[in-house]
Amino acid sequence: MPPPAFSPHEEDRLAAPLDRRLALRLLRYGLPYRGWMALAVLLVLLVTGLDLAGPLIVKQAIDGPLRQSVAGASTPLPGSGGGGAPASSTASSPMRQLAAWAALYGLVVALYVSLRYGQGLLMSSIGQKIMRDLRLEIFTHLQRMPMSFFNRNPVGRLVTRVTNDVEALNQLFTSGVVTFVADVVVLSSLTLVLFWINLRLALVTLAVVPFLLLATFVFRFFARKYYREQRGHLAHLNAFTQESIQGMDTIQLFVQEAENLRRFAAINGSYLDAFQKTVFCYSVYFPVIEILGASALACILWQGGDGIRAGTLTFGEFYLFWSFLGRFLNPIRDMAERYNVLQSAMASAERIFRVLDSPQTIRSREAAVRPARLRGEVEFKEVSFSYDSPLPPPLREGVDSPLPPPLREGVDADFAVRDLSFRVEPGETVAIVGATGAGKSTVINLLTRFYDPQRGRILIDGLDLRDYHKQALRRRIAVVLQDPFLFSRTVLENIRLGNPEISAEAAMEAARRMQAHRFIERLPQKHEETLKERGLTLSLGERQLLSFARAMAHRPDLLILDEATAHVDTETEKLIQAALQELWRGRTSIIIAHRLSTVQRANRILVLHKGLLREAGTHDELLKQRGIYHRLYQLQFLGK
Amino acid sequence: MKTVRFIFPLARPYFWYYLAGIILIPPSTYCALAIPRYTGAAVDGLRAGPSGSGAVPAALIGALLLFALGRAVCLFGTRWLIIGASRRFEFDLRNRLFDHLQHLDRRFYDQARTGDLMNRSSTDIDAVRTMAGPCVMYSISTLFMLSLALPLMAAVDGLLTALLLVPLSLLTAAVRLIGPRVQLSHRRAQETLSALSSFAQENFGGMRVVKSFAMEEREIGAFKDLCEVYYQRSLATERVYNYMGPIAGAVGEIAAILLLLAGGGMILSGSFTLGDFIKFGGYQSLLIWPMISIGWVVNQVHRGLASVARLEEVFAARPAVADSGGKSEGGGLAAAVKPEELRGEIEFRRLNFSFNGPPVLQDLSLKIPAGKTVAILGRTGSGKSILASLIARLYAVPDGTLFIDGIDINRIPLASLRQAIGFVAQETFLFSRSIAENIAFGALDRDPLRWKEKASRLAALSRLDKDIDQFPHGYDEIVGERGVTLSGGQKQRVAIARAMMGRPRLLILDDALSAVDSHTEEEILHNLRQAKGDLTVLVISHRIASIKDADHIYVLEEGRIAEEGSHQELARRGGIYTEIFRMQLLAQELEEM
Repeated sequence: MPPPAFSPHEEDRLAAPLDRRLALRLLRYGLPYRGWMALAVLLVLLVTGLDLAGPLIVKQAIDGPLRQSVAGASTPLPGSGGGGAPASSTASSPMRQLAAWAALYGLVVALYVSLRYGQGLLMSSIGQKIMRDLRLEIFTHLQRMPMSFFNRNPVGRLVTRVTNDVEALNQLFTSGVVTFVADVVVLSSLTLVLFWINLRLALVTLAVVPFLLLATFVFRFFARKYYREQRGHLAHLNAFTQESIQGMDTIQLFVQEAENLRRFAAINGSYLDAFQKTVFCYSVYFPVIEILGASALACILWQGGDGIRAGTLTFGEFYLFWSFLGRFLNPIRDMAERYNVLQSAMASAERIFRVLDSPQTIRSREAAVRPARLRGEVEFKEVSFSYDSPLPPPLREGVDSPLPPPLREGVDADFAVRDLSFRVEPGETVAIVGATGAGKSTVINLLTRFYDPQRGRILIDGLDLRDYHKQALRRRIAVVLQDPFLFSRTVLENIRLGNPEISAEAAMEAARRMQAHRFIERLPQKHEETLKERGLTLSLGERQLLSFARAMAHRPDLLILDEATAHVDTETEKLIQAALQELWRGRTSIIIAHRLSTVQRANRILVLHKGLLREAGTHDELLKQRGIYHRLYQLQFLGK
Repeated sequence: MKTVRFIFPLARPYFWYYLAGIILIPPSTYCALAIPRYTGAAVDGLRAGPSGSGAVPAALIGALLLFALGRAVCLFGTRWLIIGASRRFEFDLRNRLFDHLQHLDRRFYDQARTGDLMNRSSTDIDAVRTMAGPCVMYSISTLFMLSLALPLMAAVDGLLTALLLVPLSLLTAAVRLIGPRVQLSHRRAQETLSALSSFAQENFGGMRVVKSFAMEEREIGAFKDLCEVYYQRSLATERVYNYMGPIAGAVGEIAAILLLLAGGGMILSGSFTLGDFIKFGGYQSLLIWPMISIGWVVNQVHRGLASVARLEEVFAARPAVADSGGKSEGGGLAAAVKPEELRGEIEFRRLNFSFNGPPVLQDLSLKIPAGKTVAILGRTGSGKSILASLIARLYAVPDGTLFIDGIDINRIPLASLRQAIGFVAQETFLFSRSIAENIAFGALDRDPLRWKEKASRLAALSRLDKDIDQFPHGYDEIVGERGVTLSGGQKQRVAIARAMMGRPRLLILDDALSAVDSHTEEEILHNLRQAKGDLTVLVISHRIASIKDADHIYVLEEGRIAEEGSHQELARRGGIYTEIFRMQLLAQELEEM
């Protein structure tokens, strides 16, 4: 049976087409729960049946035990004493029969209530399960996206995909598909029962249904239109309010309060107008339904009355018509509503699938090397890299195959590093220095494979970086960032980062060696203290020590460290210096240096300038050259 | 009572709407009750009589339809009047809140969170409106329905009426019990959702750490656990919420069973007719929604009251910066001060300023003569931006410490003061409107016809004209939220043009050209000097190149003036200025290598 009330308006089809591909893809998430879904449909059918049973029982009672009393003593009834009860026992037997019908009714209601509750809960839980699966799938997919994806997409937008967009699908699953089936079933069975009982009366009474449908769809059309208008104005109103709150200084400095209020009131006024239209729609719709219902009632009285007098209709059947009248309204109203739910869910689904379809660019090959340990030999061979390159290099098939250079030749300004070659021996400490924009952070980004270079090769222990399994390689490398990122988890968790190989004791030992235990001991919950967002309750120095402890606890073979530039007090500075030396002892360390003590202690200093390696050597050698390093030294290190 | 004081004045203009809407309720109820009454009468009339058409008299059917029409008209009127009035009430409340927010000062915004204010101006206003609209309509409708229906029912049979009231009142109790429980459970689920959301946010924000330490799989595991908890809590909410439908359905059915049993029994004994039976059934179904709505109204009022309290909090906030007038030296507002008459002479007299903590500015005395260009140089955190914002009274200034043209700043009307100042802040805030509108921001209310032409003249002054020519829509290009479509330098140049638009008497450039390259900066400063006439200029910067041509330079260090003089004097003195100058030369040298 085709859904009778589901013909979409032309305007809607233009606004948001019902995308079959999207719908099918969404439906696939229900596959694991298809057994439960089938049960839900079955329950819906049962509940619908039970819902209609009530009036039928009352009808039976009126036409059975109550028949004689209802019709009045004066009317002689053909075939009196129905139900096989002898005429002599009329005093007690009809009462007993009545009680039996009432008991049956009670049973039906009990069954109806429990099944309806079960069905509602079942549908909600299927919906919630699908949402849980989908949420996890999005998050998992995002974990495997390259760093460049996160630089392009604002965090807030990604969070919305995982939360709000998934929530928007809720109604689709809980009240969408299954309830739609239920509505169709209710309407058709109501119609069938009425036609079966009395064709003529059914035709007359149901004559009102087309008008009901018409009224509902006209109402829905306008209500939806004004609702959309209203949502548009509300979004505008909220955006305006938010912008005004954030730019309040500017508004006040330019004495625009009055003008701004005028604009706000204008948007607020449009919102009010759209709302008044919606209110008008509702104010008209409910009364119209009232009148249509009364018309149907009038039809029943007019035709039914004649039928009773003529003996073609019993009082019980008359009651049934009267009682079913009210049950036509809800399904008709709901089916119109269902379409709206579907539309907004589709918009969210589309956004979600767009994220799920975004490709993961840097992937580890199956045969990738998973190093247990690294010796810590690092080599850059004529490495060039540009952030502006449209696409990262495709996967390499073999180690020696040449890399395709997607760079546009001759656009030098785009390069973050160019023809960079240097070598770090195992156990060596190398400091990289340079002005802002010299390409220092790019070296870190390439070494940790947040990006792959367009030209040249980076080798660790003689093997190309791309031949390693990405995660396995990163487990052997520790990166300490300039502004340490702490999670709002406990201190201990911030050191272990969920790594099961690091025991709590090992983590605290690392904290002790990194001089972090002193401030940890001072926290109310010590190492079980949960940090605030981004660890902002700790001072910068403390956050650094904690991130050192984190690196230490992971026992890396290669340490990559971006030294903080910000000032800390002398006491903390001493702690940091001591911790640093402990941290880089015995392992290859590459440090972007901002402190004099660090460059002085490094085995070698590489001077980057505008993406090129310009000078290299020890502190004293470089100072004597009186070149770039000499100026950097005066600028960066002397002032501190 | 506080709530009454809050709502009543706002609802007062719509008194007549409410009154008219309420007056329509009793006839509406009467008509609604007439329908089952007439239906019952019609049924009773069928018990005896000849067969043939017209068994139910046409007059009776006509009357029934008339009552339905009456009911419909009254329903329309009530909803349209009361709900419509509550929407107007909401409109007023929104405007008042916005107006109030616009007059709160920077201290308030330093502490307030945007999200919180947004919540109050949307969710809370919504809850208050629900209280002023649907709650009023439903509670009065229910009152009349009960007081008119119960006597009618009791007239038929008192005992049966009493019996039917039992399941119906259970319905009210169920709504009262389940409603808050659903809310509580929902809030718990929302808390988990927000934990889940924070987790995702932190993970995405800290993706470098996640990837560096190869935490991805473990993060997925932790997220999975959160999803599971959220699933459980959502299900707990559904478990409570799903009671509502079946219970509402069951109460109607139980009433029907009672009617069948008791009513049927009385029919058997002859004291009741089928007409009575149908009449009763009709009354019963009319009572179901009012009984639900009692519970609903009580729940909504609870929420509405909490929202009123939150809104009152905002309304109770008073700005420290306002046209109250200084209390010292003659006092009162110097109302005669017109923005164009101010010369722009600024004098700080031993000013101290702090944010409930260590002093930000200490014992500060300095003078900027009218028509001169004075610069303030200082490192980050030296207090130079605060100094600038005090001149525009973004923060409250102590009496007798800051004078414009010799008048205490607190005695100058705020609007006049700010109109006389062209302020270019460190962080440029642009509105998501066209470039032309952003440039003309301060003059939008004044000369609406001529601002476009003027905007293009000012764009030339701030070297923005060539950039604008390259935009697809030129001056009508929309700059996107906070001006995201523009570069940092373009934004700053829009801000300079915007500040010059209002013909200021005093121009404050607070690190206003930091994102502009030095060549363009040079050009803009040159243009400003050309155009300035007798304009007083205060330049604040940490770059010597921006300030070296100023008539006088102050060096600010930790809230105090450390050095002052001209560029030549300061460069030779061998103090902080000399040191900063040397470093900046060095950096420049390095850049050119």
